[in-house]
Amino acid sequence: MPRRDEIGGWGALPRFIGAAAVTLTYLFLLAPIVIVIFTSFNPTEANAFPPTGLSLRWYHEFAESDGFVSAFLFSLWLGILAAIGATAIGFLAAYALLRFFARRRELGQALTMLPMMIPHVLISISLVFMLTVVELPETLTLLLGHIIICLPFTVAGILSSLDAVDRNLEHAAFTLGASRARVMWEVTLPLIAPGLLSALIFAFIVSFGDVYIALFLSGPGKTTLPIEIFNYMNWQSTPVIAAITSVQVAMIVVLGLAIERLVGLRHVMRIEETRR
Amino acid sequence: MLELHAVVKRYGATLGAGPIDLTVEPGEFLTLLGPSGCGKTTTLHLIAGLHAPDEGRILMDGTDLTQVPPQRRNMGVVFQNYALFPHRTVTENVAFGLRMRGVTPTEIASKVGRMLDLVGLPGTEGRLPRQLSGGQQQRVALARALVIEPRVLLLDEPLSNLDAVLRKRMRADLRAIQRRLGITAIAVTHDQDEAFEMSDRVALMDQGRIEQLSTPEGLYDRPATRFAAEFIGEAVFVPGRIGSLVGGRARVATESGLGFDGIPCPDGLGVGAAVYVLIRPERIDLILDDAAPAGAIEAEIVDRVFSGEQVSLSLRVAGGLVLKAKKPSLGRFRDLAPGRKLRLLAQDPRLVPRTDGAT
Amino acid sequence: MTETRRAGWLFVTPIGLLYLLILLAPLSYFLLLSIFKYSAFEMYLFEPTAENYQRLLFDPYYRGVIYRTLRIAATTTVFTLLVAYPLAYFLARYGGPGRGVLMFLVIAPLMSGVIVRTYGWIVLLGAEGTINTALIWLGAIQRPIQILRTEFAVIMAMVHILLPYMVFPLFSAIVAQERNLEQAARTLGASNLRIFLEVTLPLSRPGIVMGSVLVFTLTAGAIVTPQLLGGKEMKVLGILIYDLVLTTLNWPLASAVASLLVLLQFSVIVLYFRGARGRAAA
Repeated sequence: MPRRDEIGGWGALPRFIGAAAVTLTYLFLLAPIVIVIFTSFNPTEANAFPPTGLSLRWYHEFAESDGFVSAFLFSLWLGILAAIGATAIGFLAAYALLRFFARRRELGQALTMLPMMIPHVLISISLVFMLTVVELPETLTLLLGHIIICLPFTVAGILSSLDAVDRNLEHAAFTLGASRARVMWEVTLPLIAPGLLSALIFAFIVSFGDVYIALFLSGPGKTTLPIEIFNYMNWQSTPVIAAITSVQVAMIVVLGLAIERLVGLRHVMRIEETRR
Repeated sequence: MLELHAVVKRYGATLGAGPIDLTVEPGEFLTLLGPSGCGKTTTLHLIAGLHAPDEGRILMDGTDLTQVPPQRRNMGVVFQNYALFPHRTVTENVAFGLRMRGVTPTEIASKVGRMLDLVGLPGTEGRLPRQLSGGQQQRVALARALVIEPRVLLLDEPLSNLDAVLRKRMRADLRAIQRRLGITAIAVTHDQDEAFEMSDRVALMDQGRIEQLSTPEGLYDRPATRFAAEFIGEAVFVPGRIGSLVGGRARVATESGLGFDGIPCPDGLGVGAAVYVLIRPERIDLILDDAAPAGAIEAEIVDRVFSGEQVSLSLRVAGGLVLKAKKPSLGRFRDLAPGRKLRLLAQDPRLVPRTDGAT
Repeated sequence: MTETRRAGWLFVTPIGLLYLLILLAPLSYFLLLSIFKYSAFEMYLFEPTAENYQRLLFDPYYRGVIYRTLRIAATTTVFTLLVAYPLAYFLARYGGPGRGVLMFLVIAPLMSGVIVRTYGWIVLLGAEGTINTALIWLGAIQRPIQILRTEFAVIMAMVHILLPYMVFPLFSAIVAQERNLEQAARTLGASNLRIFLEVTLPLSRPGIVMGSVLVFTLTAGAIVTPQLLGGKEMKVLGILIYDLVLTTLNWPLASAVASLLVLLQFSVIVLYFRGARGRAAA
């Protein structure tokens, strides 16, 4: 067979065009992020690229800005709590869907995806509106909102981990005398531990990157990092933003690689490689 | 004694298994044999309590187990893929059931050690399942199921994941261990040789029901239906009708004009009943010289297949009927070629009721 | 088996309560507000009225916002599809080294959040930004041209931000195709272009539809990117809701805008299922 068959039937020229298109697309995809990282080392006020020098000035600025640092910490805590909440609740839901309501699985899975199908702006205003009716602390509402938008991801990720668990392992444990709780604790949970950890990390990333929920629910001293940046950028824009976002990007790349090592990112993103 | 009374399992509208009536004697090795989808694994899972039956009852030594969850049935199950906990060592796998029963650690250690000796696996204690060969995994699964001293040992296609040589050896080992412990065992398989070599009795299953329950000899010699005769070994079925019946032995006239006399007649068949005369290839005598014993039939070889230790011959007899014969591939049988005319004698023909269309 | 049934309901209680009480109940109530009268003092009065919708649909200002939102969303969807398809096709067919890294590079921007990428575009498109600097250096222009605060900037950034949402459904659809379909078409004498048009493209339809629905609805509800890149004057539905809820405090009108957004979402989902059914018929 000629080699061109292996690349899906591009002829020589179309193949060149194809390769160029793919390269340009990657350039398009990555340029804005790479440029942010370069800009963060800019010594001047301008959001300019190419940079005119090299300095850590904006990282200092970030570290010394109370507003940004406290927003960063707030986002961190919020993300951790939301991730734990969404992973725990998501595990229970995924487990129930597979083990108790297996026949209604399709329907159940679709229902858990609900927050993905509603624009996040609407989720957010609903939460604000809820606060006018029910007295709830704003931060708690924000946390609940983040748990809600993380749940579709955690449920889907844990579902696919659970799918990979051999039912016979649980059956074997049952016949050996283990109660359902014991089986869950001693067999199921250890087997899906990588999936749970990935769900945790992914939920953290979703929460940390969220703008829409926090946009309506942030208050003084309880502002998430993206909102602090957004508010700042509405008035001015200096490379301090580049420094902050570079830190954020670095953090996310590390976390993303961790997921990749654990279960494979594609798994979490529910990108199907095989025919169903 | 384990009893199943009219047990039925449905999956939605489709029948999983049943109605099944079955009694397993203490210390017996019984195998559920059948093609895939015949309900044999479902039946095993019903006994283990992993599925609840929709109808019927399951009794163990007279007590009703039907509503008892698998945790409290005390059945040792060896799964088809062994289902060893991949995150636990061999020792931890075998000890699992004992731990669930609250056995003390010292007792667990001694029991696990003894059991690993019994199944022939000393020295593997600290390894993980993926570090073991298929045969070793199988033995760990067996040890894990036996160490809890179960009332019944259930084996779901226990040998299907092993290679041919290992499978042969494990059949004998499995049987020896079962005999030594005197435990009641129920296995599931689709492999007739496996079923026959291991079992005291074999329940042949088809479409959710037990087609025939008998000793291996009984199944082979006296198949109750055409399905049973076809599933166990090879056979040629010659359609015919019972012409006369004398002292439990029938004379049968076949549609192809051949006559058979003195065939033992199963109960429930009378004169005029539509039957198949069942002729097994390995029970056909070929007469190559001029002798002409009573009942010998003229035949011509029309095809020959050589498969190493055997030659299979297709033989056309009167009326265009083609019979099969299997002979060891040595001496005078080896070089028989198509076109050769000879006589044959069908030994031990059997009768099987014919229900497909003819009445 | 009632015991396991009870356990099952217990397990889904947390997610059920969250979705029902914190998501669906307030959302439905909020959407209901659109048929009530606005009041400057009590936010809303329980008097049914159609005035919110009338205002939204007939006031030229709001009409303009609706048109602009639809225009931006539709353009973004088309361009995202055009950019994403070659990439998805490549990822689905490429089996060489670094495939994992190439996939990761598509997913990673998605995880870095909207703000990070929007800021990247400000740096790129600003008066002292990369593009202007490059154009001046090349001598193509004398002074920086205005790119920020145009619809072009918004669409460009939205395409970038939403690209992964289009790539992955396309990828799944293309990967699911049997390779030998294309080979079969070739043995039957079809040219590469014909194969693409008559085999590959129709079979990627579910991915195209799914990705387009995602991108369209996400663009229609966007706030941050249009506001930062489009400037104060470029109002879209998302920003309108934001202003009405937090600044003007006209909740009934905000509810009407939200209802419109939901209706939009609903109709593209209906279109999606139409499209998916079309695949079966094709």
